[in-house]
Amino acid sequence: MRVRVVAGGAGRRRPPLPVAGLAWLAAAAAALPPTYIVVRAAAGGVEALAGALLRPGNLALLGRSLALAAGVLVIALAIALPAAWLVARTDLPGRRLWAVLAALPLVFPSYVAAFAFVSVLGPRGALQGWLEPLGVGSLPAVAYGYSGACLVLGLFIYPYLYLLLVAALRGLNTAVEESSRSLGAGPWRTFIAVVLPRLRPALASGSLLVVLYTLSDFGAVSIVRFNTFTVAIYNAYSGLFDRTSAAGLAAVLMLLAFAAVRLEAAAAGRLRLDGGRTPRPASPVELGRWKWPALIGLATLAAANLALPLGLILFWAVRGRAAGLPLGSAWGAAANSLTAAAAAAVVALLLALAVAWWKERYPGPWATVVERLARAGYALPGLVIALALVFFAARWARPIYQSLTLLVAAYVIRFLPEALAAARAALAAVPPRLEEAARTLGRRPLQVLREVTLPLMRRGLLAGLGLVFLTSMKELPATLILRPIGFDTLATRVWGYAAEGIYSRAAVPALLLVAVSALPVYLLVIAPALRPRAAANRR
Amino acid sequence: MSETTRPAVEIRRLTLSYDAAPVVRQVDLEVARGSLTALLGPSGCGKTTLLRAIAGFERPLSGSITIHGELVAAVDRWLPPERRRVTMVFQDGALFPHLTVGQNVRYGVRRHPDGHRMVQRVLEMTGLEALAERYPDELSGGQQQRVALARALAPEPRVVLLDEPFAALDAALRHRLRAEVRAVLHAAGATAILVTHDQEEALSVADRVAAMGQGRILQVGAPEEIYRRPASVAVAEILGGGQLVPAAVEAGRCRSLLGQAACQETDGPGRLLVRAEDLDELPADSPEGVDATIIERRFFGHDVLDSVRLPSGEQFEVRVMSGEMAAVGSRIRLALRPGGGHLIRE
Repeated sequence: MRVRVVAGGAGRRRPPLPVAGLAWLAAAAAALPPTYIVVRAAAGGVEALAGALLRPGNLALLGRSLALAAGVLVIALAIALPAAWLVARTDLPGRRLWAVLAALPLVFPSYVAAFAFVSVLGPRGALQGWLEPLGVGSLPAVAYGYSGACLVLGLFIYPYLYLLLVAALRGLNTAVEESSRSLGAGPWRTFIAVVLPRLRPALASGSLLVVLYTLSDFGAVSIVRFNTFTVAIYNAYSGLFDRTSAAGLAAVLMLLAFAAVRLEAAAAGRLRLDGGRTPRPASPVELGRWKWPALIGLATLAAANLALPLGLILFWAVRGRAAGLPLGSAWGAAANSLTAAAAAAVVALLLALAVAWWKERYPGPWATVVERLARAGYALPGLVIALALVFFAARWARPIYQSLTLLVAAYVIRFLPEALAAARAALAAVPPRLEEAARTLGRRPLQVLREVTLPLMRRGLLAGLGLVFLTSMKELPATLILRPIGFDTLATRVWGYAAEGIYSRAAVPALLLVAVSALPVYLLVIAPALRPRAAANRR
Repeated sequence: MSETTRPAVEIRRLTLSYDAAPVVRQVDLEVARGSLTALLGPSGCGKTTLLRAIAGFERPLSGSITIHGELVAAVDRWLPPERRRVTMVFQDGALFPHLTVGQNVRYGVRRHPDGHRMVQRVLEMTGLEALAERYPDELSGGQQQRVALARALAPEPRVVLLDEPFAALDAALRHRLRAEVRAVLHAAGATAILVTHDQEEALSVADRVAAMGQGRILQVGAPEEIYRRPASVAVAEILGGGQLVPAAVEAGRCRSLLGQAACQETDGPGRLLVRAEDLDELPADSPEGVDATIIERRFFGHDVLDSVRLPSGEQFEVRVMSGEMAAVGSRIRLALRPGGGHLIRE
């Protein structure tokens, strides 16, 4: 039977005015950057735009960005697939610890990872320093350019793919594999013919995350000096002050990101769920003697992307202290990071709640439109959002040009999709029936909100706040472009010093950033992804 | 009539709609105090909408709802749910997951000076005292529905509304809980309205049944009356389990393809509702009834359900006591039992 949902006020079909107002604000804000970047790119006339885009260097730029995405994806797959299989489906000793360790590189923002990487292998790096007395003049430049960018990004962003694969492997109904074996297929054929096809959605969305991250990354590629779209856009904007060219390149980058999303939708295919009920826990594959190479592989990985970067950051920090570098300025940057990220988290979640409330409680065509628009920031590189906002504010909103407001707005637009997912999950924990039950038991709408709705949503809301806070604090390219003059954050500090090779000054802010994000990354990203499904979201 | 003798619920010419399309049309219904009324009808007939209007979650387009003599809903008046003293048991229980069983039940009587005693009373009635410290996710489906009922009864509401409260349970539990809920409601002296699409549930639990179809209340009556003498083809179809045969009354005899029988009706055409228990199998040489063949039999122990076919191809189901029946495949005479069949005139 058709059930219409009546929340707060009975008999109402439209959302309350404040909810609709905030939701429309969110939709408008999120739709602004992709629209305005195109408008701005075309503003100088088609010929000027064509001239800027069709420069000989730009085709090479496109090639480099795509080659980087491909290289990073190959490395990420090569690490994520075996690692996920080992921790999810085998009797590997200590697999629960390995499962967490393999995901933990997420605590390093790409520019921190790149900084650690070049600081050991670079020409002014630690290795060079140790080898020089031995008469080694200069090291080969593997840390820089294409190889460096591939290695850094591949080694540090594969966890996005890995976490999805672990969840998918654990969710597979093992009875299907057992059927395959009983029908005469060996373990390999079973894996290729039965397991892999069902991992397709996870492989596709994980790969999309990796490709989007690579395309929009600015911090790591700029530190290892590999010229991609983002670097070119940033240089065109800040160095040459060539705004038409910057806007044009940004529009192309945006199209590239959207193309990746389309490709993912096609590659994921229709989701075919395994038949049967809750999958029985798989009996783990016995590794036997193979457990030794597996352990060595995972340990090497953890050494390269956990122990090494952490050790290096500590090493440079200690060296900086020994050299008498003051700590004071890092605290100022930390305070700035916290302020901007906290403001973004609160605003993003407030807007997301309005959108989610409308969509869940008063569904209809307008609710769908608003929700789609609000998610426009998904897949949009931070650099594109930042440029659009700069151009827009310079022209139409002078008072907030170069203000903290604009920076917070960029964070909000960029991370609104994350906040929206959290808000919808939180709201889903409160079926409207519960609120109605409270009404029949004598509570007014505001009392219901306080006694039933908010207590039940608290967990989901806190997770959403934490996630937006975390990602905002790590955000680099939009921060570089939009920060008010003299406003340094931990991210801009690390990047600025690392790009100039002043490693001992980059180390303290990097350490602070990693320290602040470690716990939230574990609690909000890694633990939920690794948790068995059944235990999710109780009281 | 004084306030205290007015019916628990009086609904007058009530029309409710979604997006301009009326879902409940011109409904009149009275529910006596202390009674258990079932709203029976197929999915989408408007029964849940009607229930939600009584609770205060839907506003009427026209008409009125009066509870204990107090006008709670009309075009120009609408009392919010929290001030109606009407509680509800939802299909899935809708227990507050962050509160214990005891806290759930206490929720509606928090400010009541006698709250503690009221909570104890309903916990005892529903046999939940031992579970008071548990959380809803630690309870079985049947226990959850008992908590929902206790929570709804604790504030001693003027009316308890039950929206398909047994639909999510398995068959055995459903049967047991129905009897239990009926007993608890009677013990509490509560007035209750039960929405269901299950005719067996409506007939076995309620004192009165209101059959609904396409937004209208088609007939209200005692369960037996509704079952035995449906006023229309639509009501007969909602109750199910029978066949309608064209018939005509002439001079006190009712004729149909099942032969003719004496009846008290006035002359004219109609349709005869025939259920399995209205028919009987007679020996092939009997002067009564019409020729038929037994083509299939389902055995239930104390009785059997036969499918029989007339030479014209029509099939009927016949319930006969086991032990006295002819073999499958044999020819018999099919006849209406005395007083069997109900003539519907439209």
